[in-house]
Amino acid sequence: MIEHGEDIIIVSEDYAAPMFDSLRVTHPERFLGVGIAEQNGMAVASGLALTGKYPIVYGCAPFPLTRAVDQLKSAVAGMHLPMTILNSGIGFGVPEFGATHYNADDIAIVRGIPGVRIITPSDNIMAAKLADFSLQCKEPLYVRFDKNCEGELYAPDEIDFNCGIGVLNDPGDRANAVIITCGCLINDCLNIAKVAADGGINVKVVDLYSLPFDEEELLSILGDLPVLTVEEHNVNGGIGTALLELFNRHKRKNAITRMGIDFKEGYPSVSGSREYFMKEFELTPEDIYKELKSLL
Amino acid sequence: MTTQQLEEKICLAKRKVLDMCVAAGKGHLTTAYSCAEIVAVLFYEVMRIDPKVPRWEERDRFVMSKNHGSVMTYPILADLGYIEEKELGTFMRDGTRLGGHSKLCIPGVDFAGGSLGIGLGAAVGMAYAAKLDQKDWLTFCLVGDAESYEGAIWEAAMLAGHHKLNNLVGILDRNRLGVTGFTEDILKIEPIDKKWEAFGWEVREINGHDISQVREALTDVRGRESDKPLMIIAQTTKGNGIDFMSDAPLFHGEPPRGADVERAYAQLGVKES
Repeated sequence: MIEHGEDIIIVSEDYAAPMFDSLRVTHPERFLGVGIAEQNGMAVASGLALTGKYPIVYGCAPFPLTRAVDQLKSAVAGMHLPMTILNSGIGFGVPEFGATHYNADDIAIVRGIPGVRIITPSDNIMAAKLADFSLQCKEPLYVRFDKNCEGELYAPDEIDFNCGIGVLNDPGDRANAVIITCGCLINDCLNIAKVAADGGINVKVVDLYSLPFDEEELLSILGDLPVLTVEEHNVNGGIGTALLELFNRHKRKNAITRMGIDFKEGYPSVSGSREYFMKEFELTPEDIYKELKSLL
Repeated sequence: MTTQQLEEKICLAKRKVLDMCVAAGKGHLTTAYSCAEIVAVLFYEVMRIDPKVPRWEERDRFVMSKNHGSVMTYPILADLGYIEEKELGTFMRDGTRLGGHSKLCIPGVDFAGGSLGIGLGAAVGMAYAAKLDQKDWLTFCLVGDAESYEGAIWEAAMLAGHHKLNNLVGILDRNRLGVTGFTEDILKIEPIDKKWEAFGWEVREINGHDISQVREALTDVRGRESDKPLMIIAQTTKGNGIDFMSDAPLFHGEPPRGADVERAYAQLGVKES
């Protein structure tokens, strides 16, 4: 995009990413390293945006967001500045490094800041389409890149970031439940839908990849079906909470179960792999299938 | 503009700030008065601006990082024609554009402030963009001394020094006061000149209420020989011009009330409008 003349500046917070590292060599003037200084990174990006540049702020999750929440609120959302804040890693992120590196509260934080769109790309097609959308978008974007997402789930014309909803498994009139998720958990949920179908449970799988989303569209997809939300995020404040709020606003009585990371005993003091923590917090495919069955 | 003409404009602007704060019953009057001369010299004499085209791309940018002092800019923006004079009467009232912190909806305002420590970073972004595009417009940023407790100020200072942004002019309003007391009692800031120098800035020190010194410090900012960003440390007095409000911590964000109103007008040398 820079090669095509787009006025983009990469604001790097000293975090390696292959897609940007090559730019550091080929277009050094477009690569502004601010060091491990996330507050300044966001503030500098606001100044760049005020002059018409398109900044992409990126660093090691969760810090581009959590260390600069006030800058995002005051200097970015407060001035309605188009830019992208890119966090590489969602949920447990790199849990071997401990709770400091979890990015499990970001939806809750950003949903509280008006005018910032949250996007969780779920495949490579969506990531590519997001690049074009970001430059057309008049609002700041907070992007949650899940490194565990692989493969291709969408055709380009199926992606609409303003709608934010992808139905990736649709049994039509036979559906008797809906799973709503995002990020790499989609693949788990699609596999669960296959297994469930063999057991007579026909599940719609909805990818809620952009917030805010088209509420009327989602309500239409859900009908009166029971809903299971699954997310690698704090169970409080994420997409499950967004669904509760939606149902409350529209006086819908759908049964809903929310699955997410429940830090009821605080942040873990131990380290481990993502797989270890997904098991500890009961977010494995087996756990999800069990909840799905109990929901019915 | 002659010195006398500028002094008269500053005096009038300060009186209008007093009018606005007294009428609203709130506002950071003392903070405004510590930077009155600085803001006036910038807007009337130094900055390349066109009030008829507030968003002119070639204009100099002004970032009021210590944004609670932005009430000082409102009468000057009105005098220059960015906003109408009568709008000053809406200061801090319901639905006004002229809040306690300036916002982008006000013509002539380049940065929406309010949260301290952010403005200098934004100014660095602007100055970097100008360098990248080989533009000759300058970015001016007014920083508070107590605002300098914010770590983000120094993150921005380091970046500006590293990139040799000599198109960036910072002005430190060194009024020596925070909210509750003097900076050197709250948390020592000095030696502030050495700190800015250590971060790669050229440093000048002036009396911020002496118009000739403010002018002198800013006279060569366009085409300066140094490759460093410039920080002008302006020694000022919070509440300057009204003796019972000068150097008085309790008047942070507080206008005079009761009999103090008349005393304030009397000391400004003008009558209440």
